[in-house]
Amino acid sequence: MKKTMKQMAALAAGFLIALSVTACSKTETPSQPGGETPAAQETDAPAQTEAPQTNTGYASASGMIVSAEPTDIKSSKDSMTVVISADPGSLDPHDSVTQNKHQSTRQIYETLVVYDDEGKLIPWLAESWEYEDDCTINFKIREGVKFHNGDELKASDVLFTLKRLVDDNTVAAMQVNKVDFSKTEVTGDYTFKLVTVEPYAIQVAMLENPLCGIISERSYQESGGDFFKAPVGTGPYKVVKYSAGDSLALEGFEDYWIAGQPYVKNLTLRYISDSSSRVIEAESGGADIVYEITATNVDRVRANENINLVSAMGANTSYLYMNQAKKPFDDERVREAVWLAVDIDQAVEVAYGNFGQRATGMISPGIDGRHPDMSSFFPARDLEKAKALLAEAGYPDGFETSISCNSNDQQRKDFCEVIQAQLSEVGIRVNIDVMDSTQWASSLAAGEGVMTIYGLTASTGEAGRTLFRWLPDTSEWPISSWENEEYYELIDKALTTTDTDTRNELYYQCQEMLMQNHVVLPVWHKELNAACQPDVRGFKITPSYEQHYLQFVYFE
Amino acid sequence: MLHGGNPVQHKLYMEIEEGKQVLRYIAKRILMMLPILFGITVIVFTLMYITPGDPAYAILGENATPEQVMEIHKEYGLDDPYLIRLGRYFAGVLQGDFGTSYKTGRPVFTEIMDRYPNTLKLALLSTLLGVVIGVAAGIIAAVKQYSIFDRVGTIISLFGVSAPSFWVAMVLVLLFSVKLKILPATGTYGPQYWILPVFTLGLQASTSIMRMTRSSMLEVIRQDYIRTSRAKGQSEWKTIMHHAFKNAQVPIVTIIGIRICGFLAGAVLVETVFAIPGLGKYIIDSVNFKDYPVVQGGVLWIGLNCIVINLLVDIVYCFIDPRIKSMYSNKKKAAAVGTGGASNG
Repeated sequence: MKKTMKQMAALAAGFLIALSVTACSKTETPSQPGGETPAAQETDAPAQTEAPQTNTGYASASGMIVSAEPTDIKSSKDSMTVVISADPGSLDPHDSVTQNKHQSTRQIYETLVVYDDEGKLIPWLAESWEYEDDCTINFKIREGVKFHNGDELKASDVLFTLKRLVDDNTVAAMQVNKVDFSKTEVTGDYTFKLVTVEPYAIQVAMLENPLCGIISERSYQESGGDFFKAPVGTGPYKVVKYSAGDSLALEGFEDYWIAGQPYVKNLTLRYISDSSSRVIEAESGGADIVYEITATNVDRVRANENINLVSAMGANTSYLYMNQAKKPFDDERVREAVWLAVDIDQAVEVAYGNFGQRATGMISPGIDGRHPDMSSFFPARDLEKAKALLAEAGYPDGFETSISCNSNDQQRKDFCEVIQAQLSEVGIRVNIDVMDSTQWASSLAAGEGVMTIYGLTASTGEAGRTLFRWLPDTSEWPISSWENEEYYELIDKALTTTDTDTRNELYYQCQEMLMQNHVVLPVWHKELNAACQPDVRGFKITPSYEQHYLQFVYFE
Repeated sequence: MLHGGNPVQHKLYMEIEEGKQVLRYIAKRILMMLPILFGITVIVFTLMYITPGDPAYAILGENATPEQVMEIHKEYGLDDPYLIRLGRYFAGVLQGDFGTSYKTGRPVFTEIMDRYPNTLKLALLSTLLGVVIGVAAGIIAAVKQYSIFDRVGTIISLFGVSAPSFWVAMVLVLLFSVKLKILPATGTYGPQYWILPVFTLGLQASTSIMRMTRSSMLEVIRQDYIRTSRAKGQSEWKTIMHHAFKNAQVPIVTIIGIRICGFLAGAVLVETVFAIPGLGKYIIDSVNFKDYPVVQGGVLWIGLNCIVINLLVDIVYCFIDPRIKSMYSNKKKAAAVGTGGASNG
């Protein structure tokens, strides 16, 4: 009997070990049998372990991926699967600001202008535009562009779209909140005049955002605004079937205005929220491109020779916020003490590892208007000085406070724990309030937050989009509750300055003010990435709104 | 005896009477569903009402302006008092309107029906697999008690009960999709896509079904009538399957019902790992999004399903166990059953 029991125990242990070995062995680089190595891997697939790549390489003469120039590229495969972390919810391009949504809808709807590979605004549906005066822009629309319903794109569709943003009270209304619709008018079949209430430097950049995707007026009216029935844009792909929560099947639009595009005719977007399952789709070859490889998986994917990890610094920067409406953070000495007591390098290392980078400025690298060098504004860790400042402010023994974070974001939770430990060294006792994402967002907007880590995205590709969030009429203002008329005037002036150099100078001053007043401490610049199979070409990360164009992708 | 001396006629009469009683019982059970569904609705509505967080921020995203938030509150009536909102919800449900999703603007019922078939398919297939493996293994383990098979089976089932489903799912995916590349990892685009998820949940179901079958069979096998059956020279197969298993079925059916209900609502982790667009995961996502109408509608729908499954389980009892059937038809008899007096019918 005893012997049998021992045998059983050994058997069970063997079974468990075998299972765990299977589970763990994936972290090692797999030894790939020679026959299974994809052909492209042997030819000219870019090396993965060197400097991060921002694209998968491209065969066109110009070398530019985002370009309206026709090419003679032919894709070796005519269908492609792309995995995205969240489904769009609806096919209305104007009803949500989440980037994940536009990773789907941007393939169906297009904007008047786009950013090229070098971050320069280039004509897209708008062929050209010129400033008549500081408040008036004359747009010329490209002729011969067709909607998926067969109609030709007219200036009236563009104006209808922009008005709809406001009339339907969509979240996209903020993209045109400076537009004076009483004076904005269609001036011809292919021309219209856009008038802003005051000079607004970033108006054209605002229209680049996929929230301003142009829709067909006729389809909108006929379907009663139901985008499930009539998702009609001018984009390279048209909708075949949308399965909520699962996938979106798209097919190349045969009358697309750039000849030969999209290169891959059948596109399936799959929605997988679990980050590990997304990585597995990349590893098993089930998908050609997989977006958003998270911090926990990024090293594993980088080490995999059969996957090409494309990454770029995004437009999102996270900050350590302290709410000045809550004591004792109204005292600048206390805020400075916190800055001196935390070691951001260490916190970033623990929470994000090799993913993204420790913040070096208020705005992410590569964004227009980013301060060229803010290193002198970041303090070195100095616990003695921090303690002295706290004592001076009347808290010689520190104080008790709280930091809130979103339960879905493991990295930020880890980050908060490191900060908690670091601040305890100067006597500041921090409680971590973990909340679900909506509860967290609501409490911050209601001004209930004390400390938090919060990220802002310069989604127009330039600094103004981030810097105006410290104006009192935004929902982010109550997170810091920073009252400073001088700053309000400065950012207002910057946003109405049309000359780029002068505007950037003003942006630099804004960034310096935020640091000098210890308003927020920038901690981390977000990285955007996607895992591509080795034969994927023409894929590029789009930092501005993370929508990523798929019409340029082809297979070698 | 009251209805003529013919025993055949009497039997027929009794059967019709019993049938009527069973139908009456079913009707009563269906009526009893209403207060349960009412209770579920009130509880879920109240829980969603008191959880902190404003759906307006979920709808509008991080850049919402205070004016837009107010606009959303007005549009969805989020500022109205609790009772008015609850009343409005009930008024809608009674007219078959479960509201529209805050996130997508589509009717909640359409959203649920988009996902329900996947969840149902997963639950039924997994339970079926669990029954096939679990019942067979359970019978063998009971018949050959303390044998190697019994011990190995018990250890594996212990492992199956304790191993978290998402872990088993990940191991299967790493083995079959990443290493061997013979099965797809995620999605629901053909029969081969269902193999891993069904196996994951089926394995889990089989372990509890096996344990239940084993203990239920062991109890029956020790009864005198089994010994009698063997003594009169009945084949072992017939003794086990016809005499023993038939009497051991009630607890097994109970656990099958519990498992299906569990999988309808609780397959969230497996749905997540295999990216199956199912109802469980949808409800969890909607809780995070504060999409109140979806959470309410989804929970109500799963509640309705579970009540119906429990009813079906009760009906199945009648067919597999005459003692229970007679409970419905005769209260006196039922009392007798309760004391074990009618066990040999």
